Amino acid sequence: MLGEKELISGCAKGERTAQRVLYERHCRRLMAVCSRYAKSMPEAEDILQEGFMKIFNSLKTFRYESKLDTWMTRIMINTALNHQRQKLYLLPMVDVEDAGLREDEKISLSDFHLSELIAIVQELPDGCRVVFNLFAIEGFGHKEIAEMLGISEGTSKSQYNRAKSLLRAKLETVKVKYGKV
Amino acid sequence: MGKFEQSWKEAFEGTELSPSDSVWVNINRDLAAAEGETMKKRIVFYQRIAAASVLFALLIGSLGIYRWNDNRGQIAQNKTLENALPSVGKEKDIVNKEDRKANSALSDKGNLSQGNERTESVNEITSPKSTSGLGLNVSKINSKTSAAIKNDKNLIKKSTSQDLNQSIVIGNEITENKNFSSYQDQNQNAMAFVDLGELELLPIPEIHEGPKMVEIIRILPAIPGAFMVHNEKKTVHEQVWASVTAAAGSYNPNINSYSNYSSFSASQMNSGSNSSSVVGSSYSYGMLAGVRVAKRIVLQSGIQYLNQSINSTSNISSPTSLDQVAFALVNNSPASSVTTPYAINSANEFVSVPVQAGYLFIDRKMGLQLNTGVSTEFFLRNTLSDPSGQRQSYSQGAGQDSPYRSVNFSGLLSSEVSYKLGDRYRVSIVPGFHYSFSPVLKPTYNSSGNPFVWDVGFRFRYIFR
Repeated sequence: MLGEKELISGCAKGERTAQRVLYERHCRRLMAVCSRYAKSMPEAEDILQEGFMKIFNSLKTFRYESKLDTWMTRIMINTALNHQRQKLYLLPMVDVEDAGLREDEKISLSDFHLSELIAIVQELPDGCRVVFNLFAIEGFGHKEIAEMLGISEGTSKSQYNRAKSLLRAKLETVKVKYGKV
Repeated sequence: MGKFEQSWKEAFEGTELSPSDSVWVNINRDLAAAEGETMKKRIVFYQRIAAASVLFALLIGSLGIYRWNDNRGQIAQNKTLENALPSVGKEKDIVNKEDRKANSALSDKGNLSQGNERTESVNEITSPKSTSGLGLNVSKINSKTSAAIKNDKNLIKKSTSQDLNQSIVIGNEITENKNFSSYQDQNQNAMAFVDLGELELLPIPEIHEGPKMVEIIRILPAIPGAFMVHNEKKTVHEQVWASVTAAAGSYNPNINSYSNYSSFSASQMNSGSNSSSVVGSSYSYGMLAGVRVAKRIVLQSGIQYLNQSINSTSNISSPTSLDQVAFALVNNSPASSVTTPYAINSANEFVSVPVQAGYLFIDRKMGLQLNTGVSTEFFLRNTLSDPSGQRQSYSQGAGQDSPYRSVNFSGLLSSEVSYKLGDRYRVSIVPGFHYSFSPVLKPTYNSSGNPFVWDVGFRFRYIFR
């Protein structure tokens, strides 16, 4: 079995076998990432394909300053953001105060299957979905998100609160629909 | 981070989803296309280098030919002048003859080097009464002065009056021959034939009380370049040498599309994979021996290994080996089933025996040579391989049953820009063009064009003598 360094070296040289192995090792994890940012599964696969091409082309520049997993995830997220950028019109949806959510509100997601959760996230509007992913899952602050997306911090917060509101509503709908309450 | 975010993060942590198989197929195709693009860029680079080198060689060659012709014209012109001069200077012949007589008379009598007569002459020469002041002119004497030889005392005076072509300058004062220019005008042509070495000069050590520093200046006539003795530095020409050579470049099979690699069901092919012209790569290496057969003509021959390959994609179903692809390729027949496109590489290998004649435009430390010739190429094998390693390679050798011609002939044209290192070595860059006179496949099989190669080679030559 190829070690990580050998794999990176082989991919950097353009060896197709090494590229295939790297793809097989990481495609499922990264597919899950892409599916959260995409509107649909085919779109997620497009992002995955584009992201892997960028990874293979950029591996020559990988300096082992971070873990390979983290580096690849970051490339995939950037690819997803670029993919979404044309569609993003991040106007403030609602005021922060209007979200009506308590900060410490704990929700139970254990009753939901992963595909259900992904479907719920994919149903979010583009702007809300991106900000939700960046803030809630990746852990970026609103200031960072604002810089990444070229929006104001307030817009990021508004989008996030809107996402929270929509997610809560969708979770409730699913619970009722499938009798998970 | 609040509890809401924490819940979602935990829900997605470590999750995995399987993408469809088409993702890797598309990535594989994109990677193959990117490699092809990189190869194309390299090929364009090699082509530009080769084209620029050939143009440079042609330019230098043209200049060389122009200068060579120019020199030939100049030499011919000078020969004409040489032939014409005796007739032009018939009158001057008499003068020359008399001049010779005068010289011999001077020499025989020793009138300027012995006895009192010489002393008298010298006294007169150094005397302020001399017509030329402090200066003394000993001339090559023309017909007028030849009469004066008999009268030693008057020799110098008369000789200084005119028609001089040599001067002795004493001290810092230079005696100017006022009449020199008129003499030059009159005897311009004849002067070319004056043998200055025959003239006897005044024996300077004998001069009494003369200035200590003496310089002798010869006023030389304008002798045409053709009469000058050229001490051309003899170049030691290389006669026999051996060289190792390696070259790389672009290989064009001279077909617009490698449709044979696909199963002729275009709808199942990825668009673009077989729409552009296929250009591959070529490399060769080997040994050559060379011999100079004339001053500027050389012959070179040797043995080389030649590899010409192309990358393409195929959708012919050939799950374990590429034999089906090879069959479709050479027989021009559709495959029974198709699959998702995959990359393949086809490489033809030859042993080549080139024979080239070269013309040396520049044969110095820096050399420029134009080579042309033919090569006999013995087919070794064609190998189809799958770069992904999923399918086994398939090789087809030469022979009666093989679809490939066992022997091919190609035309060669190259320029060789070289630089000599020391006495025994020479390195050179060789941009060249290689054109096959026939397709690699036999006529009964799939027809294709005559392939050609643009490449740039490097040679390292060892000079035996």
